[in-house]
Amino acid sequence: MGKKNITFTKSDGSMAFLMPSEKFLEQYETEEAGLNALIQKDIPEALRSSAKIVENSALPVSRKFRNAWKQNDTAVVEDMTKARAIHLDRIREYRNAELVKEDVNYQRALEANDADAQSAVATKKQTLRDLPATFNLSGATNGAELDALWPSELPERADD
Amino acid sequence: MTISTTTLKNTANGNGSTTSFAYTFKVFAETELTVIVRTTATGAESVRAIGTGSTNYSVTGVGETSGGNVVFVTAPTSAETVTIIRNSALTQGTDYQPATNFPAASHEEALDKLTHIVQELDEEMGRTVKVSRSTTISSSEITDDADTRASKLLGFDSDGDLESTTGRVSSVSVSNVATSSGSPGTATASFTTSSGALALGIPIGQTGMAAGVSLQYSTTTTDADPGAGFFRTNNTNLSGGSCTQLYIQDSDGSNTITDWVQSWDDSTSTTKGFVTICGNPNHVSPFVVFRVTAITDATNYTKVTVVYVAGSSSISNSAECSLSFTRAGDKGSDADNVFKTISVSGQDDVVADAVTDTLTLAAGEGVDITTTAGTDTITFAGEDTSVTNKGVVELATTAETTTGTDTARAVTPAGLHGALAGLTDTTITTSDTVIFADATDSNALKEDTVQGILDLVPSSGLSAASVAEMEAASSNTVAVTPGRITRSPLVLKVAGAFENDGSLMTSTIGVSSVSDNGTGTFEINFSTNFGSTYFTPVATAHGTAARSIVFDARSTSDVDVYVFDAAGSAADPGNCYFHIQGDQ
Repeated sequence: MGKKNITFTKSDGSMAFLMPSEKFLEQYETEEAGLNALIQKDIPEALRSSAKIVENSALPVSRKFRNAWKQNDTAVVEDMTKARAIHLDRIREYRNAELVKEDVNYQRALEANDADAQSAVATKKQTLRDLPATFNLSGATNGAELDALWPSELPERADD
Repeated sequence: MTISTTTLKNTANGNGSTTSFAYTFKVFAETELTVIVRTTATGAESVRAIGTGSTNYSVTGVGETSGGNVVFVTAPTSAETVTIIRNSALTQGTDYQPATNFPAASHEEALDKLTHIVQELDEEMGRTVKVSRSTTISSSEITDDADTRASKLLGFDSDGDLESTTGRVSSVSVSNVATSSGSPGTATASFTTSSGALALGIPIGQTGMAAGVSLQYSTTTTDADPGAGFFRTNNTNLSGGSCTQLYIQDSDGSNTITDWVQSWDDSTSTTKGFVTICGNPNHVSPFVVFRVTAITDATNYTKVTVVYVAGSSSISNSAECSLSFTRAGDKGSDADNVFKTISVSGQDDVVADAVTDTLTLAAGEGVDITTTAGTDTITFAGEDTSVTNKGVVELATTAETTTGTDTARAVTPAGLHGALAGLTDTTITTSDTVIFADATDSNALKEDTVQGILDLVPSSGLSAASVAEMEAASSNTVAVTPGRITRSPLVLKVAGAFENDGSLMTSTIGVSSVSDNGTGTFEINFSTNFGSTYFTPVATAHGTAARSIVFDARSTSDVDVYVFDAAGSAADPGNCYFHIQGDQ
């Protein structure tokens, strides 16, 4: 018997899922009976209509876009609009760190009265500022493709 | 008085004790006796003299017709013979005066002495060499003076007369007389009369040929027919290790020797034998010995595989040699398989280091080892076990176990089961004995009666604790039951762990499910509601980055869990472990 989860949609439209306790399910003659009992017990009445019993494998492997998950008829998929927003937030996070580094570089160029370096830093900072607007994420159709898109101006991501 | 006897000599044997020896004839003076002691074994004669020394003697009976005794100071031994002989003086002592008496006694005595002298001459004549009365000898005199007679023999000349003659050998010499091959030797002898030297010449044989088959050596090393009467080697350096083959022609020049050579590998041993090559006729050099290991037939010759053993390193070309072969015995039967090393895991090996090494068997505790030399037997026997000695124990039968009196046998599980199954008195009374382990005394076995056990139970008994008593957790007079233990506020009510992949730990306690509501946002749902929201949740997160956990929105049925990273942003925990104590 594979592990199963119960997905449901919360009132704010986001998706949640229950991780059933095997000991709880063992109280019932069948797994399905136990899962149905769990729906009745642990999901608010107003949300029970959206509850679906799915295989654990139906959940996306990566949780990078967990807050963009949504139910469809057969599985859990990423809401790409939300996923792009999550990805842009991550790009901004790394971009902001780079801007701080360039501030230091600019200060050093200023102290050295190096006009060329100052100009180069200014140009790079402008590029970084424009990244959320200029970096194209529209080609990604799922979370994995989206995660693979990363601006070359930014350092490699840590394993987050 | 007349003389009617011719006896003038007496002989007797000594015995080591007799000193007095009789003589049976008349002497006129003790000096007329000659006493000779002869050593029987050697013939040595000792003429004794009158006196008182240890070798002297005295005389009795002088003038008596019947004689007297010669008395030795020291008795002759049994190895000695005593001869007493009369030896009258050749003088005449009677003096007759004219016109005086002519006494008969002195006259007769003079006649007696003359008779004695005649008898003594006759006795001496009887001991001389003579010719018989019926033959003659022209001259019985030897005219050669002493120098002429020296070193010669007494003989007779052609007339039968006496002469001193040559023929005495004074020295003998012997010499070798060489012989030529194929001819008998001639012995020689010569005698030099002037010196009496005898020289003998004895023929001696020539130095013989060395034993074996005569063949000539060829220094050609080619593996081919060496030609009749020849043999060769595959290397002329015989001792260098490179000489490993002999090529021997099938004929020694006169006779076929093939069968003889090819019989050299008859032995079943690895070493077939040894071939000795000697020079002829002097076998001292060359002299080479090879060990033979194999034989191979070839056209007109035989190849002999050899290993140099000893001797010369080379042989001259065309040297005449003699080959002889000494066959090795057949290989003996293989020895039986034996183990040289005895190994025990974790122990040093026991190894037979030499043929004289002795394996000593030592008896461990509870084991006896005895040997019987006559039958070459070693017997290992277990000692009988007892309460003071480890050893071999016999297993008790079920009947013996049931009887329960045997002190020498061991109980088996089957025997014990059989004994218990065979018990017929199953009614327990208060006087029956119960054996138990005392937990307060290192589980030592003790016994008591059933009544003694019953006496430990309070007369009022113990009642199960109520919910209130469990929640109060203060009573010492009620018993905790499984159905009430969850009511204790000290007992963990909820515990478990969940992972990012959407699964709960299998061995959760008191959890029905965990709801994953988003990144870093979870809700733990209880199997049994708490009595109030005053429970105490604790959780830890396990992951690659720092996490902090906050509980919020608690109710009696669930509690929300929020996980943040170091920057305060919602973050997944990796694994989250939690437990909750409280009153349910």
